[in-house]
Amino acid sequence: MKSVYAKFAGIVGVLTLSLSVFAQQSSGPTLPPAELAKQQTERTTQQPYNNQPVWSNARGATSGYTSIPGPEAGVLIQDGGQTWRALKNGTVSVYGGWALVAMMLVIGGFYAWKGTIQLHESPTGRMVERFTLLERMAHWSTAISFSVLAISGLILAFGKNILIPVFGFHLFSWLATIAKTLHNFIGPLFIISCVITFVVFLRDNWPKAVDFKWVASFGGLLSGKHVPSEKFNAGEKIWFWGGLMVLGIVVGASGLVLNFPNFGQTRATMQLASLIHLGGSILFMVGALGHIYMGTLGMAGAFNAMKTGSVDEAWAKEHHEIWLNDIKAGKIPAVRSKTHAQPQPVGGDD
Amino acid sequence: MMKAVSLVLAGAAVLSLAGCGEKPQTVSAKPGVSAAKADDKPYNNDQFKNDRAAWERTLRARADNQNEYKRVN
Amino acid sequence: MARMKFICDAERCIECNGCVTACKNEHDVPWGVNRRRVVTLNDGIVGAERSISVACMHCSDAPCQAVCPVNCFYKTEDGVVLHDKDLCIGCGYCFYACPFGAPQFPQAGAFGLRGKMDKCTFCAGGPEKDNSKAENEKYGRNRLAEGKLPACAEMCSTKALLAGDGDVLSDIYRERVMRRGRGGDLWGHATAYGVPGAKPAAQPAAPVQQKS
Ligand code: HEM
Ligand code: SF4
Ligand code: SF4
Repeated sequence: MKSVYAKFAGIVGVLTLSLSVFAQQSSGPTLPPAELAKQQTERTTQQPYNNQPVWSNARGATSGYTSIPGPEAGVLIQDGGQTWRALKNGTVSVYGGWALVAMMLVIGGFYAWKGTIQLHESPTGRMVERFTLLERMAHWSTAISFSVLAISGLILAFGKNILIPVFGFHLFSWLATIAKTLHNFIGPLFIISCVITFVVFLRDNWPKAVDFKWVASFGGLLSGKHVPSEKFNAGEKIWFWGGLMVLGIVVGASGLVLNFPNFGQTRATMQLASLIHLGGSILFMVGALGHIYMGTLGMAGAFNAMKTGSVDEAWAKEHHEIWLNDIKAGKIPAVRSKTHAQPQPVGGDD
Repeated sequence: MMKAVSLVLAGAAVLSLAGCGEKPQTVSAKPGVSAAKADDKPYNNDQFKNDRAAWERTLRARADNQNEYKRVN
Repeated sequence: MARMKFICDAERCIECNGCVTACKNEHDVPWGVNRRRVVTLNDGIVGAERSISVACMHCSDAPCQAVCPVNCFYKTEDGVVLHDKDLCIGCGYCFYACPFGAPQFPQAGAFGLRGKMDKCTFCAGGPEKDNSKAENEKYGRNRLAEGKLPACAEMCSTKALLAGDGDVLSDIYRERVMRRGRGGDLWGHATAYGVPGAKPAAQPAAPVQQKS
C-alpha cells in the first residue's frame, strides 16, 4: 500500500516539476532589470546607439511603463505563446487525438471479440435495490454534463480540422459559438455534480483488500475465472478515484482558470491551464469511453441498474457477490430509498 | 500478468506512432484569400481602377515621405 | 510585391502616445480596446530609458492564425494579417499565442465572455467591402485602399514609427543608421518576420500551396 502512495507522490512531483519548467520559459531576462539598466546607462556613453541591454529586457515577462491599462500591457514580447502553440497544435493534439481514436478501436475490437457479456445464469426475477434515486440523479447529472462538455470541447479543439471542410466557415462559426457558450456555462455545473457524485458514492468506493486481487487478475477477464467483488469492483473504483476525483480536479480547476479571465490571469497562466485542460480532458474522455462501454453495450444489465435503480439477484451474484451476500446477511439495508415504492422487476436481462 | 503487461506496452508502442503525424506548423493559407469571404483588393476601387502598379507607386511615395532627409534636403 | 511592416526606432520614440491617439481616433476604437500602445523600458533612468510603440506586427508565420479555432484570420497579398469578426467566437486563444499582446477584447468577463477580438488592421479594414459602412463599424477606416499608410506612422512627429513596404522602410532606416554611425538593431523584427539567414518563415507573397 505504502509504495503505491509513494509512487503516486513521485508521479505528481515529476509532473509539477516539468510544469514549472514550462512556466519558467517566459521568465524574462537573465540579469535583473536594474543591472541591465545600469549596463545600458554605461553603454549609452561608451557606445552610443547600442541598445543591447534594453533589448534583453524587452523579451519575457519584465514589464515596462505604459499609460495603457490592462494586465501585462507593459510586456513587450512574451515567449510562452510560441511554446503553447507548438504543444497545443502539435504534440498534445496529435497524441491526444490519436489516443481517442485508438481507444475507440480498442473498444470496437473488444466488442468484436467478446460481444455483450451475458449473464451465465438465468434471471431469478427477484430484484435487489442497487442505486437510490439520489444516487442515480447524481450520476446522470454528471454523465449528461460531461457529455455536453466533451462534445463541445472536441468541437473547439478539433472542429477546425475536421468540421470546417464539411460545414464551411460560417456554419462552423455558429456551431463553435454554441459549443463555447455551452461549454463555459455547463463546466461549473459539471464540477458541482462531480462533487455531489463523489460524496454520494465515496463509501462504496473505499479501497479494500479484495480490490487488489481483482486488479491482479484483471477482473477475471482474461482467465474467465470468477472474482468476487463488493458493490463496486476495483475497475469501478479506479474510475472513481482516478477519473472522477483526480481528473475531475485537474480538468475542473484548469477549466475554471480558463473560464474566468476576469481575475487578470497572465498569459503564461492561461497557456499552462489550457494545456493541462486539453491533456486532462482527453484522458478523461478516453476513460469515459471505456466506462460508457462497460455500462451500456459491454455488459448486459449494467445500464438498467443505473436507469431503474435495481438489478436481478442473478446479476448481483455474478458481478458483485460480496455486496449481495452483505445484503442477505443484513449488513447492508436491502432498501435504502426513502420512498416506499418497491423496486420494479424490470430488465435485468438485456 | 506478463501477457497483460506486454499487451499494454505493445499498445503504447503503436500509439506512439501517432507522433509521426506531427506536421510542420507553418501557416500555409493561400495569401490574398480570406478564409471565409473574399476580401477586396485595396486597389480594386474607383481611385486605382484595379491597377496594382499605380497603387503601389502611390504607397511607395507615401512611404518615402517618412524619410525626412529626403523631405528636408 | 509589397510586404507591409512596421518599424519602431527606439532612438527616436519620445513616448508622446501620438500614435495611440491617432489610432483610436482614426478607427473610433471603443473604450478599453487599444490597438496600439507605447511601452517605456527603464522608465526614468537617464541614459537607459527607451520607448517602443507596439501593435500587431503582422507576423509572417502568425501564431494567432495558427491557434484560432474557427480559422478566422487571413493574410492579404501584402502580408497584412486580418481577421473576420463575423466568425470570431471570442475564445482569447489568439491573445495567448501572440508575442506582442496585440489582440484586444472589449471585456474579460466571467464565463469567458470576451466579445469579438479587435486588433490593428494596418489600416486595411477587414473582409467587408472596402470602406463600406459595415467595414468601418467593425474594423475602422481602410486607409490602404485610399492609397494611404497607417495613421499612427504617418502622423508620428519624430518618425520613430514607420509603416509601409519593408523594402522602402529598410532604405529609410539604413540611411538613418548610416548618418548616426551605428545601431541597426530593429526591435521585434526577428520575432515577427524571422531571423535573417535562418530557415525562412512563410512568406505571404509567395503562392504557398495548402499542405495537407
Ligand atoms: C470534464 C469534462 C470536460 C471536458 C471533456 C472538456 C474538454 C475541453 C476541450 C477539449 C477543450 C478545448 C481545448 C482546446 O481547444 O485547447 C476545452 C476548453 C475549455 N474548457 Fe473544458 N472540458 C471539460 C470540463 C470543463 C470544465 C469543468 C470547465 C470549467 C469550469 C471547462 C472550461 C473550459 C474552457 C473555459 C475552455 C476554453 C474554451 C473557450 O473558452 O473557447 N471545461 N474543454
Ligand atoms: S503580432 Fe500578434 S496578432 Fe499580429 S500577426 Fe503576429 S501574432 Fe497575430
Ligand atoms: S478570439 Fe476570435 S480571432 Fe481570436 S482565436 Fe478566438 S475565435 Fe480566433
